[in-house]
Amino acid sequence: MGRTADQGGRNRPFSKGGLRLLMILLLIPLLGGCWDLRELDSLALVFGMGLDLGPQGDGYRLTFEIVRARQIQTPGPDGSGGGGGQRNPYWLLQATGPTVFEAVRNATLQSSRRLFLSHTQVFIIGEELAKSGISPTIDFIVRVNEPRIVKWLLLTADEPEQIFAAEPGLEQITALAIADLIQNYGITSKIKPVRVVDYLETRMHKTSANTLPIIRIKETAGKKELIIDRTGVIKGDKLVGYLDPKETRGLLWVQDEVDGGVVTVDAPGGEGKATMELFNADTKLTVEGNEHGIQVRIEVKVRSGLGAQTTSVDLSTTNQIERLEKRQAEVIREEIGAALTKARDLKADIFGFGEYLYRHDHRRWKGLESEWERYFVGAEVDVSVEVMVEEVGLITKPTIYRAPEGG
Amino acid sequence: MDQGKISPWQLTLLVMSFTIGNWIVLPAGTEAWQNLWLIMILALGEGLVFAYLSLLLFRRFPGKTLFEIFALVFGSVGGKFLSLLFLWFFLQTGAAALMIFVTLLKTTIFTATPDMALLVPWMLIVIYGCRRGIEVIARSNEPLIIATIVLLFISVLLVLNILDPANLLPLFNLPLSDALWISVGIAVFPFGQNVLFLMILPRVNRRQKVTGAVLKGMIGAGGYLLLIQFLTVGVVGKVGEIYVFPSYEFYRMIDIARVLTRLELIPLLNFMTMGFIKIMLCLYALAVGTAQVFNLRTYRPLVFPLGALLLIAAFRFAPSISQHLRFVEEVNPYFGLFYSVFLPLLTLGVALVRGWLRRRVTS
Repeated sequence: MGRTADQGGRNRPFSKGGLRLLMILLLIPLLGGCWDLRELDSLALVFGMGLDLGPQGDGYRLTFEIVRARQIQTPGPDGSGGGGGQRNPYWLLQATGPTVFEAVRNATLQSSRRLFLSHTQVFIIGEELAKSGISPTIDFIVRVNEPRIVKWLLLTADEPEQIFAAEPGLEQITALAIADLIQNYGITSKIKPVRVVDYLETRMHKTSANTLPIIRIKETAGKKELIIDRTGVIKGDKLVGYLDPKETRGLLWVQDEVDGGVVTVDAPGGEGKATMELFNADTKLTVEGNEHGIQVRIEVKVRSGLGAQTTSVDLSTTNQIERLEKRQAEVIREEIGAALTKARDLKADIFGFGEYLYRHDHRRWKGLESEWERYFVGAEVDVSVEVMVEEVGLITKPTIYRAPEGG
Repeated sequence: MDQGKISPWQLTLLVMSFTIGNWIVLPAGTEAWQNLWLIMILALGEGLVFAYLSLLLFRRFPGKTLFEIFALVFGSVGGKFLSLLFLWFFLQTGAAALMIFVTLLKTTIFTATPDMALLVPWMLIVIYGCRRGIEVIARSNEPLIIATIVLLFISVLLVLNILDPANLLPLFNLPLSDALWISVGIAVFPFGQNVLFLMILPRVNRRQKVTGAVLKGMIGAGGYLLLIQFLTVGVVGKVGEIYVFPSYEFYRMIDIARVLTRLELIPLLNFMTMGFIKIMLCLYALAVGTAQVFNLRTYRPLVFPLGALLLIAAFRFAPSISQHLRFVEEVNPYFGLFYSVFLPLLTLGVALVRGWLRRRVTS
């Protein structure tokens, strides 16, 4: 050490310098970082994970969408793009195993780098697997520290690998494109986005049914594009039915998750339609009940504006707007009604009425829990919708305006 | 023996860090989940009463450590026996904190690192701090506890967008007897563990302020833990119940505009700093106590071997997290009540009776 330290008159087994030297020596091995140190060039970054049943119906078949980081380049100034004649920016890898964890490890038999799951954006579950139960696959995602539970969970009727192999549109990686598709749900409010943690949360309330968005391939001009336009209903842990976009919107209304979107109504006083844009929607749900049945009250308050019309009738007068509001309320009520009918058919409490009752009146809930399905199907539902049309856009008269006769 | 002196304010901060300790990542009583923060208010009340009773002991024998009080009250042999019992308590408390420290790191970020590579350097720092005495421990605690509190306030701002108050419902959905029993469990761990400070109180420079300082520290720590639990339930919801380290998961869910994410380092940092102080205080109490039991002039030569013992004990007492959780749930309420309520009260009672007898004899 070359330095004689002041002993300070204290009773020590080592001299101060010796102790310091010892500590420094002991700390040296730690400077290398953690034992399982992995740098970017030795990792296979997984962005999307597909989960399906194994070939013989036992075990799992996993698909990984792994990014080839070197192939992702921003287009050059000549707009030629960085990828001309190069390889795909992603690599699809499949592996099987008796559990999800083992399948993940088995993937390394084919991959030169170890799979790194922290950046996985979407988990896509095949319908075959969804019909036999989802939770066993989720366990791995939640238990292990790499995957994150705030990422998206989807279903598909196609093979998950086909989904990842589809055209990613404006993005380079399909998984990222899918994550963006889901995140833009508020533009239409026809998808209900579900994260892994949301699925678990709903699953923990024994009577509630989950829903998951369904992604599928849509052929456009010979190219395989992706579209999310249905919702699967998961009762217990198994896929039991589907909601179409209208029913999905109905579900979102009840759960106060409508974030935007449009509603098209028949234009009052003429042929054609009018499309209203939703600015703000607010739902108040109340569930009350006893042994004789439950009463559900759904109060929706909507603020919207006129976005498009196909008639020549002037819809911007106060009279017409009042009629537009009424018709819009009617459409919303229909959407909610459609979702309710479907949920009753499936006997699946996708709205979480039971959960609401449990949270607000858990003593009463105890008596109803065991026969909740019956109470749910027989529930009296009262829907009231209040719509305000506040805007008519930049113009007050329709573009195909005809002046009133004699005017 | 250590001649260092700390101020009542430093004592308050030490009590806070010690109480926050490992609870910050691993709360007990999670079966009450969304009611846990309510039960914690009750538990803090009980904990304050227990602590006040123990502090009466210090008021009656100012300037004496717990072990010296035992010797005065129960005589040499009885006092030594109780002191040895208490040494076991310090060892157990420190070993549990150490074990949670290594488990947390192993399951989260250092998944492949051998335990000893994490523990040995850690213990070396703890031993080094301990040998320096209580003054150094108290001074190094100041920036650490302040950082921990600041990080909490930052976290509150970070989770405002994902906090769902509906997750906190229903309130009071468990039987009162269960709630009371859980609250007792929490009153002894973490609040009751502060009985360890009876070894440190003589080192405080203004004795008349000691009681207030300890109680203030407990209230501060109680508020801190309550807020963390409240946020965890509000953000993670019912799912948090299945996690071993719920607050870790809560930080993982933070997402500010998809930019500010992956903040799980915050709870790790909080636990590493608070756990560091806790383990250091346990080792300090262990060393000072051992020195007093064997009438040694100084505790310093004992720190290193006792630190090594603590390291071994961490693996012996709870080889897996499941065993630790079972201990906390099934044994700890009794264990804690025995150490932080029964023994101090017994001592106080015997001391009062003996004093009363002596006065009768002399008068």
